[in-house]
Amino acid sequence: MVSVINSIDTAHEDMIHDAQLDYYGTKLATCSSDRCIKLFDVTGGQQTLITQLRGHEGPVWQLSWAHPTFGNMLASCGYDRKVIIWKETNGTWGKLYEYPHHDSSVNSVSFAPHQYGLMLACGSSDGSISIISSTGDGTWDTKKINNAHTIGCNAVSWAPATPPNALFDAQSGQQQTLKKLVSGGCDFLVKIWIEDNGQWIEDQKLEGHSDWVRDVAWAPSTGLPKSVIASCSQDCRVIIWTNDGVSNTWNSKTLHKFEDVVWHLSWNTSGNILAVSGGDNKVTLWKENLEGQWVCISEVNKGQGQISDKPASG
Amino acid sequence: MATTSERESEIFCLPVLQQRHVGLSCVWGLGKQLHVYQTQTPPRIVAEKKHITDIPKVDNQEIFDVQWNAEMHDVSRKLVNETHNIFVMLQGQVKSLSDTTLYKQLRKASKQYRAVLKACSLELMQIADLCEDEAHKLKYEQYIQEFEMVQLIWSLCEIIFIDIHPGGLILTPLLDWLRWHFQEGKQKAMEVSQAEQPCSHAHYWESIYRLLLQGSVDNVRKLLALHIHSSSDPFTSVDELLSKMPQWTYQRAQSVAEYEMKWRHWREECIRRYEAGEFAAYTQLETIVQILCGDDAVFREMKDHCETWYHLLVSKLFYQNPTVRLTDLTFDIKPCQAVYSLPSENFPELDNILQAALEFDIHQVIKESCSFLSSRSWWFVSHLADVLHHCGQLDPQKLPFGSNLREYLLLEYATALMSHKSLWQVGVDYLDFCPVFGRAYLESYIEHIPLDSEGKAHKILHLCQERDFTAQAQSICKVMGMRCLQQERLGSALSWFLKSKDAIVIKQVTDRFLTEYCEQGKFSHLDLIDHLGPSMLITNSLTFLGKYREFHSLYNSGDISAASSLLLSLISSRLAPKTFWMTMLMDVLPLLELSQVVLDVQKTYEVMYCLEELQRDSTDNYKNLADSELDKLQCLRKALAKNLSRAIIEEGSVKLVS
Repeated sequence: MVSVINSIDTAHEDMIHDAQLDYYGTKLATCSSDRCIKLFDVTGGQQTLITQLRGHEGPVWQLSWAHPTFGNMLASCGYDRKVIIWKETNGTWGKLYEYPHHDSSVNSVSFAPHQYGLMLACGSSDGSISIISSTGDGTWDTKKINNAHTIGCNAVSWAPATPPNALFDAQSGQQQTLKKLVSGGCDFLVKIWIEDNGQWIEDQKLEGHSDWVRDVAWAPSTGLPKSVIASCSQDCRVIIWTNDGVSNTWNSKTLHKFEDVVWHLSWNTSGNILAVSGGDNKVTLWKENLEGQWVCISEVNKGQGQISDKPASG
Repeated sequence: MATTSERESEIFCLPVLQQRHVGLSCVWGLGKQLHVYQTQTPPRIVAEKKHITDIPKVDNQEIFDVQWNAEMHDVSRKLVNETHNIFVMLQGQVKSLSDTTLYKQLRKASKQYRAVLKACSLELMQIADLCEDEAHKLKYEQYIQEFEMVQLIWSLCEIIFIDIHPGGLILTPLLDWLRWHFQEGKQKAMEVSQAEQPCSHAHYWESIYRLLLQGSVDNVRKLLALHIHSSSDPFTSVDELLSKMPQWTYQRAQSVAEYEMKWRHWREECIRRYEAGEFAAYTQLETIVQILCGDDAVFREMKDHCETWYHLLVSKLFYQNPTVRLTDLTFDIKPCQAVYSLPSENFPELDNILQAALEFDIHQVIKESCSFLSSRSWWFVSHLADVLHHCGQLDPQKLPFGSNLREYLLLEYATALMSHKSLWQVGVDYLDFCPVFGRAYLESYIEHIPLDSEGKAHKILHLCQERDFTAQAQSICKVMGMRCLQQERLGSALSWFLKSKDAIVIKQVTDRFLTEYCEQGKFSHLDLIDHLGPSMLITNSLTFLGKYREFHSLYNSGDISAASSLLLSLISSRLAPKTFWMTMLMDVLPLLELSQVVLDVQKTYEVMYCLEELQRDSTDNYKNLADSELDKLQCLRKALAKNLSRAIIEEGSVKLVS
């Protein structure tokens, strides 16, 4: 049974492009074409504005929260080609670092699993992906993957950190954390990148879409050795890519062909439900059923009329 | 092979207007929560490329917090908590008990679950009675109805799948089931028997019929005895028939065949008396005897007293075919359903579930139950499936999604609890018993539980340690440590970081401690530092901290020689961070001013070397040393020189030219 618990009036002056909840679900960050990033405290069903962050000179496209071990930290990217990392120190939010080295709008930003330290990836319309990292002493290191996607890169997403005992280098007997990243671009491709000896190289090229890929999301690990990636495209389809964890091949399955372009998708915490939002003005939730088929379990539509009565608290 | 639980997709409408180029997007919250907001479609960049110029304007950029299964009123919470204990105990028994004892426990667990359901139901009724608000009252009544339905289904499933008595008759427990869930007959009978003239009470005959249809023969006889004409022939005849009705009991160890024969004889007697016209004087008595004879037509007349087809089914079979086997029940289902034109009340799903149970189709029961009662059904379906699974009634096969049906349902239930602010702990226990996915799910969810307080953090940390979630445990310690550090609570930060065993963050804290000492001249958390124990060795700076503190305690206790050797070994080992050297060198000063020579020549040279290194470093970045510090170094230099001379004299290490 679905119910709207409450609504938060963000008072943004222009359209919102992204909203992200922090790790613990206590803070909501929103960004908009009005160049502002707003932070709200959403604990206990209440929502109060914490602060507004201004720093971008154009619409802000996406946000990403860092893991709480780094304190309260948020990254944003926008039309002004900048990636800005914001941090809260002693109760005030301010710019920690600004990365201006893209030639075109930065469309996507995502913090890496915290096991890799302070690291994030961002994809830009100039076709490149930057991986920015810091050891915490104030210096920042960047690695760029140039021409990751011709025409432009629209989305980046990190693979979950491999569990500690999963990967063993047989020769050296040492454990390795294999950093993996997936990106989607205007070349209709979904690509997987791996860090090898400090350099990022292309590991896989997944073909299946017939138009620009708008969003990619690597599913959180579910305990099985397989990996799952979801991608959506202007060809109105969402494709689920699976790798069994043993071989190098990725199988694809079209989740559904929608009536209109699919712009955005995201996985829930346990990686078993996918939320899809598209031009058909709906948000749909998809879940793998007992047979391993993806079925739609819920839909949020637009409808006219009054806001439904808030349910009585027992 | 079970087919999927084909839930209809739930559609929910947000109260926003349709607008050109304005679509919906969302972000996940905790558990089954989405934050949905309106956004520009296509996104601005694409719109520009496509020259879509009419940029939409939305008046209130709101974000809607949409949740599933959010309502968890007090009684639901009680249900969750109490059944949690039963569940955990059962899983333990599954591991440790043999088959036969296990089956006994499973039956017991099933009854315990039902008892909790009943208790919750009663509590809800009390609350509803006291409730004054109409809307709330309606809601409570809805919950009560749902609880009643769940109990109805569960008790039937218990009879058919769990509490099986191979040598027994299925109708015996089914009649009990009827009596338990259809209380109207009993209630009316009470009313009637308390009236002044029972037989003229409006409900007299009705209550007799109802009780008879449930096989409550003794009560029927009592009611008949209240009739004014109860001593007349027809009445005594009926009474006799009723008293002679064969009873099935386990004690007499009669076989089914024997019982059937007895029943046939008895029924022939009923038919004979009926055809002899013994009851012609009273149509109601005739009806009673027709029922006893198992006459088809009369049961159709009785449909209102049965209320539902399943009641009718049991009642009819009791009088027509009392030794019917479970597997043969299905044949009579359709005819009984045909008697009733409409499905029972508004819940055709309930009918389907009960039918599936009576047809012994367990997977259909589960499938139908999943879509029935939507949110509340997860409790019911998952616990029932768990019991059935352990009874061996569920197909244990691994399904394409990766695990079996039981686990699939338990995961649904547990994940719904994980986002609840206090019931997440219950969710943890359930995930522990999901062998394939439980661990990974738990790892993901545990990281997102807000660490509201030290107490909660310790609780979650303990959970992680119990399950060897080393990565999550470390993460929690680091987060808590960071928070303490931000609040300048160095001691707490250090103890959290020590638990995390992460050398880098520990170094951060110890450096802070040392800075604090430099600034304030004392340590703030002596207890902690004194009792570091083996964790001292995790990083150099921590070892240094511990040893430096030891130096202080030695010095303060008067053990100058030990203190000074310790200090000197600390200086020469270069264990301390450079920033601290100044302080340490200054610590040497009082040692040089003692009457006895504490530092020998070698050691004095070492200190001098150290001093030179420090000065050299600082001249490279000479802005680091303030004037006062330069003065201090001068003092030290003088003292060292003086000490050197004294030491040389004492040691006689330099040959004096006479």
